[in-house]
Amino acid sequence: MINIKTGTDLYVVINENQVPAFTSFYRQFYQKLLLTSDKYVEDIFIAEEIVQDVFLKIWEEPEGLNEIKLINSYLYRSVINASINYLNRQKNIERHHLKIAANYSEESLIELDEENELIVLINTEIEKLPTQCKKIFKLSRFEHLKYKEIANLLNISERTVENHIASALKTLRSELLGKKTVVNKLQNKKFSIFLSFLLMG
Amino acid sequence: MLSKPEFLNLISRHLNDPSDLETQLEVEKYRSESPENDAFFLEIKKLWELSGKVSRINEVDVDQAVQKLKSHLVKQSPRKSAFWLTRIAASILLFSIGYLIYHQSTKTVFTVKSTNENQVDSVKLADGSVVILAENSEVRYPDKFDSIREISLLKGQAFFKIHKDPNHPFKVLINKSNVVVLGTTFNIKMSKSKIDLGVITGKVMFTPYQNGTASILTAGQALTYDVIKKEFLTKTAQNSDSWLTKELVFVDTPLEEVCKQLTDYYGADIKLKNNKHTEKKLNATFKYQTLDQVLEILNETYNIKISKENNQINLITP
Repeated sequence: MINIKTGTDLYVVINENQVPAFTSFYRQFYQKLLLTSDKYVEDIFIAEEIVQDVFLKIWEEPEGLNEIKLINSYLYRSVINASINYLNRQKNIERHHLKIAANYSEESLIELDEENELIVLINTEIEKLPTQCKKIFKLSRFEHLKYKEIANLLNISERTVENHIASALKTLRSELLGKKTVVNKLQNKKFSIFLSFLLMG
Repeated sequence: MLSKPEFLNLISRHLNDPSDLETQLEVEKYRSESPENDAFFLEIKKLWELSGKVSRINEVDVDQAVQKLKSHLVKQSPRKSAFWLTRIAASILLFSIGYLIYHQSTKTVFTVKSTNENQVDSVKLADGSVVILAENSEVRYPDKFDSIREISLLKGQAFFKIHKDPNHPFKVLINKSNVVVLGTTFNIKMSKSKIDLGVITGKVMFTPYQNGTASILTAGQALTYDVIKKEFLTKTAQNSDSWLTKELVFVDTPLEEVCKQLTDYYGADIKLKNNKHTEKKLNATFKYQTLDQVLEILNETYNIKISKENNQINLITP
């Protein structure tokens, strides 16, 4: 896979008509950008349209890319703007959304990307869990059911539900920690600072 | 000291129900025992929170999305290509744009605008006049006007808000009939057999056919022209624009006329039974009301019985 980091990297891919490289780049960002657009438009189908349009626009008019230093932040900014434009068209824009968009610094966009990366990874890992464990975990985290409600629904004991959830969390944690780059992201920042303080001391 | 699996169960219990104080205290106690315990707790908590956000993308089909994007990607034309080619292309483009502008400035272009069922649309004309089209209607208009402003209503019903210009009369063609105005608002409804014209403000002149006798209508007046019999009768313009305003106003209106207007507006067949009491008159305003609401009001205030047979609604006076 080609490593696309700057606007120029992407420009070269488009200019040389490298469709596979472009689509794999799309795949790499698709879900992460969906999460961001969805925060604004609150409709995953519309978010899908918006993200696709942003990429199509870049493909059709890549000239501006050469000015872009960090392509990740550029994509987030484009998706956020397109989402706000959509809301504007819908005339139900909330003011705080606009404010948030205006305050997105380069650093906060990188943080946003890291968090979305984790969510996408968790999504993949949840799908790999054993059937019953996956089912129970989804009921708890997606449907917001309490353990007691899940136990009643599936006719099992509350303790069994708790064990399944704990096992899911354990698996997810070790899978994520296994992916080297993720380690620091999962750990709370304050704690990292605290830890390095201890190590220094 | 709790072993890790037990601690994990404890954390999961706490996350499931953060309001349970006892579990919370146990968690706090374990966290304070070592930095590792605390880090472990924070990791699990973050995992818990993030996995809640996963639900939004859990059912998204990424493969399908990638295929969809792929199908939309058009092949890139090489950008670094020779400059002379782009120059020629640019001059051809400029030439064609020039021709297009020239062509458009000399030739009048007509547009046909039509609406579907349950669709209302409007057209702004070159002189600033506005035509609001009711459902299933069609209008043909030019992109600019000459000395006379002229458009055609081809089908259905429209409300006209004509910009005042005494030097350039405005003409609406309705098959062989026409309406000439200087600046007013009025409504036209046409069908194969008749034309309904209602004037809201100003003055209009209606000519049923070429060289036919013209009649002048002023604000508040209306006429129905029978195309086949070549006859017309004048009446009040009451409710001719109700499809647009969603308001039905009845002032001393005979119940028979009320039935006709309700039939027109709601598209239901409404008949008055028991002709003895047709002298009864209605005074009422209905705004944004359904037919059932209107019928209920008639029933309550005038003690009119409502009976529905097949597609026909009968109003029976006491």
